[in-house]
Amino acid sequence: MEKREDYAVRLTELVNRLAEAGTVVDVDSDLVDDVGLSSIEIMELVEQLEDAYDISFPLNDLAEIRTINDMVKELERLVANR
Amino acid sequence: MKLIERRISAETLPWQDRDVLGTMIQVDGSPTLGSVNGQRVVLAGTNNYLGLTFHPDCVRAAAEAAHRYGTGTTGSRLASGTYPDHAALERDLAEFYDARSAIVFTTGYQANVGMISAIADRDTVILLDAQSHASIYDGATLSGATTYRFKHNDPADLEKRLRRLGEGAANSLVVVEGIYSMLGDTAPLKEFCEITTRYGASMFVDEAHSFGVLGATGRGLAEALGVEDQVDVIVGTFSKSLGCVGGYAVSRHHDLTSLRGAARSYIYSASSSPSVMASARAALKVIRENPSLRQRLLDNARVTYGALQQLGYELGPEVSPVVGVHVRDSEHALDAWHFLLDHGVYVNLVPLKASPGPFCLLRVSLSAAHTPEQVETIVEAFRALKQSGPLRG
Repeated sequence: MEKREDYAVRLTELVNRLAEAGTVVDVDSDLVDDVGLSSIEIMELVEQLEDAYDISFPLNDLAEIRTINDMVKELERLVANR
Repeated sequence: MKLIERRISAETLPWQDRDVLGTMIQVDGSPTLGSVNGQRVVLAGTNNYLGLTFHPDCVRAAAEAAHRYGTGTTGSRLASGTYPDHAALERDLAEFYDARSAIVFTTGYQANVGMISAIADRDTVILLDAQSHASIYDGATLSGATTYRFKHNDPADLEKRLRRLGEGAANSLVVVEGIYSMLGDTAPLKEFCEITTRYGASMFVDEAHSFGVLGATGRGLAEALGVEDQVDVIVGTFSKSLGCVGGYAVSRHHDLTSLRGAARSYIYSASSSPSVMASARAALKVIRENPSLRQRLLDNARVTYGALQQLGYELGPEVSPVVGVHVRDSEHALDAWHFLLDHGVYVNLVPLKASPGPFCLLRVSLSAAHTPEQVETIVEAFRALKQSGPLRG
């Protein structure tokens, strides 16, 4: 099973691909305010993770996710409950 | 700064500085003609699919009800707000759908919010199509159910998510729409029904834009595809094909009566005015007796969709009374919208925020009441828009 650090690395890579060139992305970056992702891009990111880990992100929890770190924690929880 | 002041300064309407979304339409005795900013226009953005807003039977029924019962009920359905026409309309709808029961709501929005939140709760799961109407999302939020969205019109994605639920799939509600309001595409309902039936999930279909439009008798997409027996609940609205306002839920399999007490939008809203109920009943009768209205609507849709496609516009994926014309950004969309108004055609201007993709839309909605000349006016305005330069359309 992947560790939290592995999730963080993978997610940071995915976010970097969506971010504009030159944007500094780290685990505490706010996906909207700091990285500048649109809601459509965030949903694309979520769908990639869902397919990669065979999980479904509940909409109820998405509103609470602001940073990569928040998403890592949610990912970890969902994979553990798979 | 007070909270309300912070919110006011933080929020903006799309095109707020251009005074667009408050555009006032002056309708004058016709379902398809009106004025916008003093300019005479063909109305092609009203979802008045069958053109019944001025049908003499509907207007007469509304006027008679207002004279007899007054202008409003001043009460909720569970208090003093159930008048003879509320009950009669529910009987009419149940008969029309060959359903066990029907519930009438004050608006279509309230029908979705009320029914979804009455059926699902925090111990259940809702799976909704990603392009669902806001009322479906809001109903899911109010229910407290764990909610997942599946990719738009993608049966394989729905199945994947039901599979992930394991035994919990049987405790889930799948929600889709008959016709999607932005691009006019229909749901692959046969496939969705096959999957939900196999997993033991409940099927909920919002026929807001397909009621009166699809199916041999106008009951909607489920009728058109022959899957009504696999749908648990159908919800719809009176504000499109019936030309007034209100919403409903019907079920062939279940007696919905007890859910009236669980649907908060039903309990805590004043009921529809008697004139609205009377005109809805009259409109339903018109629909039942005039199947040619649907044919005329679909003919107008076919002509318009075909012409705009031939002009090179990027449209929704199928012929539909809703024709969503893609425009790449807000500035071009606003520019094009004004151009069409100047050429005598009113369509809906859909901002990026409300669009299903990374584009704005000029949403054309056809009506059975559009004459061939009016359809030609719509097409010609789009032709002129296309010819006016690369920045437009």
